[in-house]
Amino acid sequence: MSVALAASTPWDELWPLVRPALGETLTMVVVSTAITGLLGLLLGVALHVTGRDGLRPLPAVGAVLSLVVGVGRSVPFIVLLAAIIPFTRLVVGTSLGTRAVIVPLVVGMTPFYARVVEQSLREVPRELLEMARAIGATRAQVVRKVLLPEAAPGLVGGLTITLVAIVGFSAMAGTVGGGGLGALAITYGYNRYDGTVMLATVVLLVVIVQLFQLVGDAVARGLTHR
Amino acid sequence: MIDVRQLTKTFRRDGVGTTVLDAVSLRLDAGRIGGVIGPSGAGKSTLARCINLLERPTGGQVLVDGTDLVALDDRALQAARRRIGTIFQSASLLSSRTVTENVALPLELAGVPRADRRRRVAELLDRVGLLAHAHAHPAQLSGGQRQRVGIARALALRPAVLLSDEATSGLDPETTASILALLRELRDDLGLTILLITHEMDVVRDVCDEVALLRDGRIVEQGPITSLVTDPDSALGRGLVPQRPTLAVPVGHVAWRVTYGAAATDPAWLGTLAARLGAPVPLLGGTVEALDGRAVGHVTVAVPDPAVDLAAVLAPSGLRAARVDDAGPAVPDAVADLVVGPEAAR
Repeated sequence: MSVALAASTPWDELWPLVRPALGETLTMVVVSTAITGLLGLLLGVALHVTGRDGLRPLPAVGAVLSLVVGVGRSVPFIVLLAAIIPFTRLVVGTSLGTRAVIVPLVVGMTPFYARVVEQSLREVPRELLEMARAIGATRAQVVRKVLLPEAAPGLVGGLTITLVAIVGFSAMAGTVGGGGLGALAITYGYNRYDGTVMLATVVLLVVIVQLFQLVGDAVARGLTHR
Repeated sequence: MIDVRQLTKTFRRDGVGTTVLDAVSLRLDAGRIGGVIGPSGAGKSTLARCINLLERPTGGQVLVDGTDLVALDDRALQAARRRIGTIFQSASLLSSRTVTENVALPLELAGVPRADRRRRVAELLDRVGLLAHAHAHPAQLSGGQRQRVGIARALALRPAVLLSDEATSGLDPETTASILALLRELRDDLGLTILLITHEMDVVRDVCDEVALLRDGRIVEQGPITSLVTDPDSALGRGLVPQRPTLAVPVGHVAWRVTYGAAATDPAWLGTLAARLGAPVPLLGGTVEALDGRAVGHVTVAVPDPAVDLAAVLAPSGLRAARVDDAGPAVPDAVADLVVGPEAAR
């Protein structure tokens, strides 16, 4: 232990080192979660609507969507990160840095959140959809006024889980040029045996996850009226 | 007015068709309350779903004030559905919305402006006695209150017909009575035509003017309650005024079952009969109650003289009598199910 801590960064130099990394991580996580939330919501609604018991069953479309989501979820994130570099370049013009990491994060997590959305929508009681149809709702109105509001607590809870997973993957992405707390922990904490930096990043990551979890839980609770 | 003509529904699965509704015809004039009763599996919920066109019938017509809903395309149907307000079994309220917002939903969907919506919702909540709970969420309400919200919502677009699909199942008797009283009041005040789909004979007896018995997808009997209960041959009539176990027939006596029928029956007929026979007439059992202000039901009495033809004796007083064999008249199964063992509310 004493060897590992030998090259420690002094405490007063820690903050200037950690602050930019923290900013990068928060940017990656917040932007990726926002885009993933939006795309996953659309994809999840599409999965539900075109599904077998959906509002508009379209078996062919449903099967294609399901396949896309399935493939997306089967590729390990570290492989995806490398595999879609050409696509990443196409979208953001570079394969390095925080902006470049957002692309694989979104691509990797959207199928996951889409499944969470589909699951939450499936839990809305069927009779509510029937009720809405009986009082003259169009399909779009059923989605907007019944499905999404009724599933809201589950959608928010699922988004929180997605966000926490994105925090984890963002650290992984950091090691291949994405920056952020993950990169810091590896370059300083691991490669240079800097225990202070390692400890600081771990504590920060724990705090970030806890904070987002608290906020997510509070929002979900506010939306629940059962 | 609602007129269901020759409604047929066949479900096709793996090339095999199952007919759930077989040429069902029902007609209910404006301002009448009708009931469709039947054991579970008779096709009641399919009938309800075909009437509000949640399910497309395979054949037949559903006419609401002369418009055939079955003939409409999807777009026209959406508007026409508003002519029928549906009350659902479990109220089907959105948990994410307050009472006010739930009642406002059909108005929102129909594009009613916000100010008009607010006025109409307040009016409706007042009507069903829930103004005090306007901002509560459904989870905070009792079963009866939830169903009142469901009724207010069903009324929002001023439908001509109110369709109730097992709306009182799962409610306790007192709450059921208050919901039925509300329905009757709505009929009286708004001239609504109300069709109740139910498995509860008590509901039919309490509120319906007419009733149809649905069994295996067919209407096997239908008519006004008042004529069914006075018809000793009617299975529905016997279900409405159920046959309870009677006392054993005393030695030397003959049991007769007396059915109330005519508009005017002398309530003191039993005493008159005893005086005429010169001997007491033991009462073995029976059910007599007032329906629309007239006596309906039946009693079983023991006549001390086997030679007396009670049918002839009682005919002038508007009562019908039939000798009871030891076994007694059997109650048909479908009705027995309804009376004895109502299916558990889902």
